[in-house]
Amino acid sequence: MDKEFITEIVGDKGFIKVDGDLDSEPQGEALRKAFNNVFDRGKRTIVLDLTGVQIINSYGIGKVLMCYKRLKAENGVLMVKPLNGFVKETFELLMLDKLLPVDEA
Amino acid sequence: MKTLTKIYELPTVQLASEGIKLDLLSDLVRAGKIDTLTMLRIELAVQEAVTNGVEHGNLGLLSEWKEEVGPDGMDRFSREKYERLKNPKFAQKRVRVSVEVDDTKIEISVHDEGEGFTIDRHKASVALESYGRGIAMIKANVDEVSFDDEGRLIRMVKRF
Repeated sequence: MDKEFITEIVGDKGFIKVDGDLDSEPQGEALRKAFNNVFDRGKRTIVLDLTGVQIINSYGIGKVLMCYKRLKAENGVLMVKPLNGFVKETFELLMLDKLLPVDEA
Repeated sequence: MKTLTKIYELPTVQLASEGIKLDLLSDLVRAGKIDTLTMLRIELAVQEAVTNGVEHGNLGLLSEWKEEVGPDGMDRFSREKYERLKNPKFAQKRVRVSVEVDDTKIEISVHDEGEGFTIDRHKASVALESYGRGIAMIKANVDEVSFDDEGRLIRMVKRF
């Protein structure tokens, strides 16, 4: 059975809770589907919750950036919940922290 | 401690679906040579190197194809990868991973059978460019990185 991430709409924001590491095709595909789910419901501010992610590799980064670009093309915003650990370090290494604002709410 | 050497030689199609698991790393954690976080870092670096060898090396996929996204959100890179993994011309190429461990370090080499590539050493790793991201992540997680055989071979060293 394909993996599915939990999505939620709160006001004008869509939320995606990433379950597990972002380092493989099944996980990348789950993110793509969850993103499409929220995007196709008209949300242009989307928040990724990566607090449960321990490892993210370049494949996972690529999938996050794909979400960023699709939103940017429609003047939308991709945000992240406050990051920690290895994921935070990786985002800072690749300067993703400059691209993706943090949703502190 | 004597030098321990282990060599894995796996076909592209197997690596693309299963990745590679280096049992030696868990042994090093149990022996107290490295901690769990270091093991994860080395695993990540190896995974990036193997992925590069599989995708850019043996399958000949270009990074810029990741930017060509269709209306369904799927990019050309993913589509081409799916097709080439069904083609024996690409799928049966192999990747050789060799691991050497001694008292002071672990050295891992990943060698693919692709066309080779040139690393632009002066190109900054910028988040939006898929080129260089994997290499940046490798360099961030091991102590030394070097390339040989026209880019088909990457050597990584992590010191204890």
